[in-house]
Amino acid sequence: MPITNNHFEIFCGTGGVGKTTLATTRALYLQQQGFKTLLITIDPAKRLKQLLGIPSMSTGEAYQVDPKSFSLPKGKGKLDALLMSERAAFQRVLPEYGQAFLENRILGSLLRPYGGMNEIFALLELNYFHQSGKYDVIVLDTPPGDHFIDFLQAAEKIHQFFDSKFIDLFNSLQNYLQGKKSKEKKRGFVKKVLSQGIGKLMHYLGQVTGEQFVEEFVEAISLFYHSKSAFIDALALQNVLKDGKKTNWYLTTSVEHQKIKEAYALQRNSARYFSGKQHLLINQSLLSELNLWQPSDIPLQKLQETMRNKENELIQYAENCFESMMVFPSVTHFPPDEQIKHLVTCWEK
Amino acid sequence: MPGVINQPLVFVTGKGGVGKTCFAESLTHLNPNAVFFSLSHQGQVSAIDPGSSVDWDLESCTTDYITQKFKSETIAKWIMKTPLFSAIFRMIPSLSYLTFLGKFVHYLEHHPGAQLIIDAPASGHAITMIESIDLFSYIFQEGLLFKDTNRIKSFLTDPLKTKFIVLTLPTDMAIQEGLDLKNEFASKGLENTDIIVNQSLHKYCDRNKIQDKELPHFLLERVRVERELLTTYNLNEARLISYQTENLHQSIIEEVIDANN
Repeated sequence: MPITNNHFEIFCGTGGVGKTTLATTRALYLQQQGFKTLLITIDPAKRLKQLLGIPSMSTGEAYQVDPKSFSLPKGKGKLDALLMSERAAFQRVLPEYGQAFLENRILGSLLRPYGGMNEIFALLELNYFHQSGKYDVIVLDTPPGDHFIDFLQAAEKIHQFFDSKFIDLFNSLQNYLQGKKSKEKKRGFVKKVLSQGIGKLMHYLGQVTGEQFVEEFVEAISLFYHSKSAFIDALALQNVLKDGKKTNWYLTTSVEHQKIKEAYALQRNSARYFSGKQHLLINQSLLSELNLWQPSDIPLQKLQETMRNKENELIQYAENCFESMMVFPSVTHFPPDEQIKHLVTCWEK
Repeated sequence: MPGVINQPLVFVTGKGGVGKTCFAESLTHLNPNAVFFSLSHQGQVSAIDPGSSVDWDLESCTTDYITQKFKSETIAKWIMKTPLFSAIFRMIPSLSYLTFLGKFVHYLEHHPGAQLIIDAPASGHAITMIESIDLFSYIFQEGLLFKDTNRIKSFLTDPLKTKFIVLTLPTDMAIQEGLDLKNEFASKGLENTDIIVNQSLHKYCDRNKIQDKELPHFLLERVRVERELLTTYNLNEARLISYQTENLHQSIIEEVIDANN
């Protein structure tokens, strides 16, 4: 079944199923087809990083990939690969506030890898390259599993963060901060702030977290507020992603993983965020070999039955719930570069 | 399995789909004082009976915590209702992890003899969870929360109190990632981490006395790869859990008991 090319190709799924590998093969396939392609990846295995030619430490820059590293012909298109970096994304999107963000103790910490805001920055990054217009197709390898839902929720979180109630609150906070800085004004401001309950909240917060935190916190909120347009812009991307014409979603799973239940939950939870075409990719399949095998021993028959059932259940599920399904064979007997080359050809079918 | 798990706090982590939940639930059946909590599927208990379990949600944990700090439920409820507070929680997932870690430590300090088995989030999120302690310790610097982050940290870094089990699959990449996670934990001062390899075909053949010559080439290939990995990564046979064809819990429990005898 041919899969038409869209502007976004989003790979999601639980970790360890070969999601990054399949996203890479898709990007290479599109490059071979003549598209200007960008692959944004989160955390590829060391070997794959080497093959892609991206440095092991994230620089936030896009590097051109040489298809020859995968024993593939030069191809008609172009492929760049980028390793996600929260910091780089931030400085790119908010050049005027980037430094101030990093210097703030709270924001600086949150911007580290695993700082807990990766999904929001993935969305900003995606939006930036979408706006740049440099690429025909962007292939995004999303964080695994539940992270993917976080990614989808990112836009919603941004929206909630900047809702009207919050803006009112922000104004009070800023007054509070100004009040603290200028002593003459302090009494008046604090009085006003107290009447809104903010001062009381900040007082409690200060007891629990320390005074310095409160100041840095107010500064953090203020920085967020001043740079809100960058976040709000990213919201527009949500609508593009929701548009079925522009996006292909690939839910990746492997027969080795006991995943049907979770894959189903992931699909159900993500359904409200998009209406793009959904494809299921089943990786590391042994079905053709299993069907030919005729074991005589009972434990071996049980093994064959269990392995075959797992694959058939997945296929059944795919047929019922997805636009299309693709099965990728187990290629572990090939060396890494040839594994990729072999899988790239699977997209032609 | 190397040694009996007698730490009061046990985290089971690893990539999605390696059988974390099932393994964690099986551990719960090994100890009458064990209590199961799924942090990876907050609030939703698996279809299979995990034995004794608790069901905590973020909001009630946070309210409880604030109540303890201010000795007033009214204040706690009021703080929780402010849009600022809920916005912070939504934006910063690591703050919610810290809240749960605090809850675990608090629970165990008040229930001597209990064992808490946590079905922890998958690898990346597990690092976020652990980082949340240092992160907030660094952010706060002083105050009540700062003291609490240190209390949590000393509980989690005590090998007699906390154990991490990284469950993985018998492939090179999966084991490598498991070891990376173990190192990442060690760099945060959490030294007590075990790697357990689930779904091992080699172990399945061993337990069912299947000879190599009975295996078709595509499975023999896998079994050979597994054996090479055991040598490469110097993994003990006792760290393998057999491929499961039926009754998941029962077979894991039997293997863990076997390994302990």
